[in-house]
Amino acid sequence: MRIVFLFLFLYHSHLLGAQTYGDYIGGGHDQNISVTTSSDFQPEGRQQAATGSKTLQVSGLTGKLIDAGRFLAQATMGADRSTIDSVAKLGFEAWIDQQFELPPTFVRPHIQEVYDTTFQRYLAAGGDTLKYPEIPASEHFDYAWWQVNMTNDDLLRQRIAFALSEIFVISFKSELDRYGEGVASYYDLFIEHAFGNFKDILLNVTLHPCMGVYLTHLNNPKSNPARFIYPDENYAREMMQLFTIGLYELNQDGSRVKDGNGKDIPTYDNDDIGEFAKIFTGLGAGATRPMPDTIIEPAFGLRSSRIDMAEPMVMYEEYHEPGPKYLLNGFVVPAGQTGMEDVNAALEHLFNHRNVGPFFGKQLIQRLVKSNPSPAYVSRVAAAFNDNGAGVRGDMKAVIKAILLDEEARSCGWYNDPVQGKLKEPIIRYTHFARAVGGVSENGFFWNQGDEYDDDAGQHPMYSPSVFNFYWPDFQPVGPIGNQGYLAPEFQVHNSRTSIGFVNFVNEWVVSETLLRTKDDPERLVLTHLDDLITHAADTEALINELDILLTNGMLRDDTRQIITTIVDPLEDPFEKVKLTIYLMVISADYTILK
Amino acid sequence: MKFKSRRQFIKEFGLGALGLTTASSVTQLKAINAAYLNNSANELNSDYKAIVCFFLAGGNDSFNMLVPRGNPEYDEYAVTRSDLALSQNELLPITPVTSDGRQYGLNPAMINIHQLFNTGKVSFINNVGPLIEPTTKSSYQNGSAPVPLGLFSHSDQLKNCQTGLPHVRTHFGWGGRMADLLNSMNSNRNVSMNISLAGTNIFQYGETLVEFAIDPFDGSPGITGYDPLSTGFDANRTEGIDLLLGVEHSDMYKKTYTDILKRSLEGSIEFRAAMEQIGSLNTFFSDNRISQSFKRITEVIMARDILGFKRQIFFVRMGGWDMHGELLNSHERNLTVVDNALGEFANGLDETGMFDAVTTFTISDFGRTLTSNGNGSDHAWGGNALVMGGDVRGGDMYGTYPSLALGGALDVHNGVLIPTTPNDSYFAELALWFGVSLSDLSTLFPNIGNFYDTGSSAAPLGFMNI
Repeated sequence: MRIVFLFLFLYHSHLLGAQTYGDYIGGGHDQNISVTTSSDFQPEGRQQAATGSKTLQVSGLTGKLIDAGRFLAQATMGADRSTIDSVAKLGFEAWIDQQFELPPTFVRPHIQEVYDTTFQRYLAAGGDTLKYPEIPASEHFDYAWWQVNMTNDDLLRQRIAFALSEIFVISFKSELDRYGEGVASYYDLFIEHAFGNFKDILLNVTLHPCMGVYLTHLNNPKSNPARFIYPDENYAREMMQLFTIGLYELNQDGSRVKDGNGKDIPTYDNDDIGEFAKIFTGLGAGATRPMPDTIIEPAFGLRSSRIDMAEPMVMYEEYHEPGPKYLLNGFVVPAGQTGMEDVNAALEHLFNHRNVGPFFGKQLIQRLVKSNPSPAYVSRVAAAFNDNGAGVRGDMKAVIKAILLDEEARSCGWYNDPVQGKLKEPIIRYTHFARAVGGVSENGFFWNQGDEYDDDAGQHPMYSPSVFNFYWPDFQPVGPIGNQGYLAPEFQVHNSRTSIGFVNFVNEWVVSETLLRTKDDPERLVLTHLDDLITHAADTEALINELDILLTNGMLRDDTRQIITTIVDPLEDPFEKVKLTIYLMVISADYTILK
Repeated sequence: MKFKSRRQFIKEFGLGALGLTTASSVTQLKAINAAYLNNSANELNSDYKAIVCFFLAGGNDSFNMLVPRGNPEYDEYAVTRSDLALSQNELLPITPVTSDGRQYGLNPAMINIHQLFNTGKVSFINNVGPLIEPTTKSSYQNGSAPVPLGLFSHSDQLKNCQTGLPHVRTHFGWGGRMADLLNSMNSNRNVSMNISLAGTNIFQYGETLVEFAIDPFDGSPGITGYDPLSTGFDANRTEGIDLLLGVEHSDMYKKTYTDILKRSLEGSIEFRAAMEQIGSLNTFFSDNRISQSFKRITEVIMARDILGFKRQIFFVRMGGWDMHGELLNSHERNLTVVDNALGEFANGLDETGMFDAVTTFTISDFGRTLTSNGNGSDHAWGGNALVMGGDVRGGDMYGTYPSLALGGALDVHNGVLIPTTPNDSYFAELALWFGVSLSDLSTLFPNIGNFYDTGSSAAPLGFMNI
């Protein structure tokens, strides 16, 4: 890998001055560049001038490192110093292109090892075989997820996969909590298709039995009016409302289309839902779970406990609703097709709806970059969704580049806009810290349990309280954000419990040096790697500067810096000094808010 | 403003800063509150009231909770519900004070609630749900009646029953807005009168007041190592935290993050200090999230004078009601949890002498289709709700219990029934009992005038002693 990086660095170094996506701090190709927050800067479309909270007076390499760190805070779950260094040298687009080429790391391959190891530990501790889950469950998924996200190189892919899991939501907070391997295979769909096409994501999600259980279109039979049985409408409704087109007709910039009376225009009504419900009938078990003594053939009606929850559902024609289906805007799925032809036609019909670009694009921007993107930004991202430049609709690579390389995400003018940014999700606050500082594992395992962090800090992958994810996309916290009509979804899980819960986890990571721990074996810890940072203990300023690169990406306020310096300077014990410095930085708003 | 805030009071009477960490702080709190209450400049009702909103998330299949038992109404039910019908002889019989000529029974899992009903502590609200104005099948089907937004969608119906505003999509809850109106009755300014056992929620989200979230098991643990009386590392840490939380951020995200953390820290310190002083609660509560939520609520109510509350609103959420499949088993399991929790809560409130001061009520996204999808039911509209409390006119059923025959006057499709009791009336009666004035009722529930004359001296439904 290092050789490849070096080669690319040499190859691309002459291109550094020719970046197409605008200026960045310390870019070096403009000698007179000065980066200060200016009271007369007026971002396009905004009423007020920027009143930046920090004056950036960095130059040269530090500036590039900070900007690279900030980019990685948007583009990854977390990145270490060497990754920041390489991005600073490589440039953003080149790094993205490199990430596109890396092979994916999947969660499911780790599940069996996790299960076998923990089962053996359980037995060795005197546990009763009959009381242990028969197949991998949610806690095994948690361990495997952390193993991937602590050791992987495909950083961008994993970040996108996690964001997709927050849009196409299923959750362990349902009967799925006993299907750890099934959920892993579901999550792996997002890893596999993160750089693929939206249409494939939609199809694979529709056919996955975990989604079939979660939104109840597994074993959804055609109408039987004599028995008052009608197709279940759950999946039809939620997949339109949440996965594809949303509730209202949208313009390309994400604003709502208005009718002649100035009112919003709903995208569908309850009759439409009934028609779509007919589409999603007839899907049943694709494969059965291997059982020791019996062989069960897959059949429609087989419940999840018998099904292989990692294998796609298949269509059982005799249970698929016959007849035409009248979908949106006069589109008719004709009678006489196979069930899968119906499903593909309906998904394609929705995929081509003009709402998908802005609806999906805006949510992805909110996950990665900022809670309140400008309409122009949404429009540019939607345009990339609509056509990747080569006539292809739904190209994830085009959308990802459009989001991360847009001037609204990259340029320092936007960097200091008061509306710029977001509260980092609880899990991102964890992984960002964990990758930046690193952990020490004696056996190569980076396993971590999830439900405590979910309980206390408000979030863990695949533990959403409902299909609406951990927070509504349009949540507005009380206070200056809501008062001015802005959105900040992540604040919906920032309350009197979780705000303190997060701080107490920081205490564990930093003061107790426990980065990761498993539920089943409290002795097996991954310790926080503080050794490198301890070397800066004698020089408070150097320590804080290094942490600024790793954690706060240049957004450390002068007064925060002053407070921390005043508090830690007098400390004699280097461990205490370094720990308190890190702790105070990580609980501060300068870390938790991404600008 | 009628009262001085507690902080103003403290400043004026020279009681100094509130440095709250240990038991001494509670003595201070008690003294401050006692003095505050004795101060004749402060007008306060002497009675305490709490409402507990018990949200059953996903849509409770409540026509299997409160079931027709006699003939022919049971037969209608059994035909309509096909494989979802409970058997007639397993229903727990109830005899409501007001008879409509039919017989009713409860789901067999509801043993405690059955007893509470028979002793006049529980009542049911029939076929209740969101309406903008009185609606008939034809006005619904021909589109002439405005209907609640997003009917049958979880996210919209969750919002409707928690905002009480089915005609708009907003995230301010009627519990939060009641708190905005009534918080002046409370003297505490650090801990919200809205206590949530389920994190941030729409119901308790007001324009100024939001929830104080506590954990059903742990209550309100504070920041580890934060202790103004500590020495060494923790002393430095505490000072650092205080300084960071004192920064005045102009950035709106940073300000919101910091303000919430700061308020949470102050609140948790005060909360924990109060909890240390309440004495023992001997009633048994089951070891699950729901029962433990009600236990925490009982404890908080025991601390009401220490903390300085005359009005409190609690929120409990129980998931798992969206039974598109496996309905009979899942519903029985869920109702057992609810039944135990409410029985235990009633006992706990009795033990502390507060049963009359507390009204518990259920809400859910919607009722479920009377018809079966082969194994479960789908999203519907009207459903039955439950209320419990000393001021509830118990042992009765309020509103019209509908016919469950398919294709009837209320059945719009598949046994989706138009509500016969509007949410507005249900919620308005609770609000009036809680202390909201008649004149404020239309602000809280703008559509109430379509169902109830706010100039009237009669109650909207009559299930509370107001």
